[in-house]
Amino acid sequence: MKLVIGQIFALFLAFDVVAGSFTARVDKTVGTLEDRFVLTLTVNGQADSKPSLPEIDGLDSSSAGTSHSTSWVNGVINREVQYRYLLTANRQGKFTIPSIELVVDGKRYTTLPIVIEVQEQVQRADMPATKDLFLVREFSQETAYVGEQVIETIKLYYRLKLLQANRLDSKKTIDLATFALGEERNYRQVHRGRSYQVTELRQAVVPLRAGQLQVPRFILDVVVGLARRGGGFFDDFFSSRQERRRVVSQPFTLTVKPLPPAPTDVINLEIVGDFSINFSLNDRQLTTGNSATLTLTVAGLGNLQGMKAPQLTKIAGIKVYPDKPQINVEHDRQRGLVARATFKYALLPTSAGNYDLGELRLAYFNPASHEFEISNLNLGTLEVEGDEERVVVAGSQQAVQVIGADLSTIHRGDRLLADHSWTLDKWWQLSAIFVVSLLCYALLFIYLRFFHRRTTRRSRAYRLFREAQQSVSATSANVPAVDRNFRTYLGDKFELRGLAVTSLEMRDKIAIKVTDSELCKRIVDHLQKFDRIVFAGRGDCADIWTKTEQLVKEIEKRC
Amino acid sequence: MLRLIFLLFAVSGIAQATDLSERVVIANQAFDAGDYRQAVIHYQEIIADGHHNGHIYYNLGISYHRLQEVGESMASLLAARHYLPRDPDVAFNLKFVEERISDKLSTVMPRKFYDVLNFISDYLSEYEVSFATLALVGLALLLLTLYLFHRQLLFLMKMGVLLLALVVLSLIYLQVKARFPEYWGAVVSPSTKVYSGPRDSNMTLFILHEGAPFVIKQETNGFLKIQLSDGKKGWVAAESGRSFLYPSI
Repeated sequence: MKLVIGQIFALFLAFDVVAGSFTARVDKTVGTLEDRFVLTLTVNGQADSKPSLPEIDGLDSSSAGTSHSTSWVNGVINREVQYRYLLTANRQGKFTIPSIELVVDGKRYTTLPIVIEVQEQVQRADMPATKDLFLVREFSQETAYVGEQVIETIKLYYRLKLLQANRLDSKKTIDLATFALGEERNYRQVHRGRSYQVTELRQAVVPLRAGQLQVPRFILDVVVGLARRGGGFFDDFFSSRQERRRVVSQPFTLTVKPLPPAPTDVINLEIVGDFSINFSLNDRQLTTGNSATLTLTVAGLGNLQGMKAPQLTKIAGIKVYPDKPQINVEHDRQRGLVARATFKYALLPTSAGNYDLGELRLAYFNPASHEFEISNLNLGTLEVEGDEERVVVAGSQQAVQVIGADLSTIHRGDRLLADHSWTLDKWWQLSAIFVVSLLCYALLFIYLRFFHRRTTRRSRAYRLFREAQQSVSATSANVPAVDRNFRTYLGDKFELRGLAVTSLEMRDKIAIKVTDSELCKRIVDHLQKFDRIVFAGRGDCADIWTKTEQLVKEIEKRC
Repeated sequence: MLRLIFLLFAVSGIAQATDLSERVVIANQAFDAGDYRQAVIHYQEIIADGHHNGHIYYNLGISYHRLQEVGESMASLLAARHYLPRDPDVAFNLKFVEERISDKLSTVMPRKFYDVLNFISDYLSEYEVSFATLALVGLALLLLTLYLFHRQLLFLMKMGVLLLALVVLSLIYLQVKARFPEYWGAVVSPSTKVYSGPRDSNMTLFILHEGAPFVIKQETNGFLKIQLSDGKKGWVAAESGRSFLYPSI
């Protein structure tokens, strides 16, 4: 009944959906995942732009080209442009091609939405003999335990020229892990009396949870080469007609059973398969400071990827250092996943003695026996010889324990000979040193301030006089300057103060300092001569400069 | 003549130094040999001859400790600390002995904010302060002398005056320490009563045990007025205490 209704609906939609001069139609409205739907958009007139096809969820679209045609009917030119799109579905269900807008000849046109239905593939795995291309998928079992590998075999049967094949996986699931097994095989096989070329792929499917799990379809997008109709002998060789097809496998539901509860007194390895567990110890006789290596090996059919290293039970006196696990998984085409996991542990005894390493009970689930299988590994003993002292291992340091305390030892050397005592007598001595030092400084200060300066000045009197005279030329106009220089010289020489006095007053001062009376008289007479010249304007000043020089030299000689 | 006298003094000094050095070596050798009693005798003789050295007291304290005489050991180490306030060995050994006496007392008096002088003595001995004072004097005079010849460098004068002020303060400190020293001692008898006055007829305030440290404040009638680190005060018989710092005991 559904088929009838569908056919009627398809027949209706095969006609042009007229919406002005912009129409949209599909070649069919019902199909399967293998089918492709052709959407044609027809524009009559002048469109402002090219129509754009919106994205449709669940449908992949690709352009199939554009055709232009121009017709002349009754003197009217009619231009038509067709845009073709190929639509392929990723899943079954109903899909709606939405309305598309376009402005043609200045007028806006809108197509009606189109519904297409993608149905379940009606043919079964044993495809009819007339089929030239089909996919067959087989599973090694329909029921499995969580973690148990199931072998999936995919065979592509074809009698056509297969030019290209791309795998298009449907939506991935987190409930299953798949592993490719080996390379693809190609061979010929007769199926229902017809010879087919077969490409076979294999993969292992591992369910990750319990329940009814849908294994995703296997989808191939192929390009086949087809011979021309009515072609000749060479057509098969120079086949130029290519066709794109989609091949989809049948759906498959895997029934996944949960694992039973694991035994409690064992180490559950949390792996599923058929394994053998072995161990080895490289050395059973050691000396302190050396280590032995315990190697644990798990090998067999099943997936060991991500397996964790089993935790060894603690052994008193032995430090255990696990190494990084090594896991190798082979993807065997015939047997599936064949894995080998190696776990190494360094056993470092901390002191000498005989150590019983105990027993290791490891469990894994074997789906063939539907129960956990336990491997009992008796690790044996370890003999350690050597000193009883502790072996320090990095990371195992402990705080130093104080087991005794004592005083620091005695002092020695010359430092015992110094006198450290301090008495009041020493204080007085120190104070005396301080006071004496201050006194010395005070004396120095006085000397520099008063005597040293005077002595310096007196010894330099003649030189200062000579320097002053050099700037004064021997002319009558410079007599006051010469007078001043002479008086300054007398002041420096005899440490006289207050030279701006009369010559008679100067005589009294000089008489105190100069014991030579004759020299004293000559000095006073010379000063009086200056006074007459400077103040009275009388006297011979022609050779006053020279006479002053001579007198100063005389004074220097005699004083 | 003067030269001869000078030579005699020099030789005498050298002879004394040699003698002291030998005696110290002998004392140390006795300690190394395990004859702690003999070591104590030698160290005591050195001290009795007027040679006060912190290291000698330190060694004496260890020797007493080896003889299980905790009180004497404590008194010796307290004397060593007086001369070597910063020595880590002295501090360690003092703490070691302090932790093994019966009475819960400390060898450090609680300091008040005005105890500046005692704060200095925690880190410097008077001997070191006197050396520092001399150095300050020399430096101050040097700066002031330089100033006399370079009057434009006024800061020399200011620095010199500042150093002189420090010297004066230092002398004051040393004078105070000389007149008011802190005499640390310890109880040497197994136990001793502490009285309220300088007679054994006075009330017994508390009992101290061997090794208990105290500071001597006063001496009267053969009794010592002591103060403990926890603030307690009292009088003890002089023969029950020992202080290498106190002149008469």
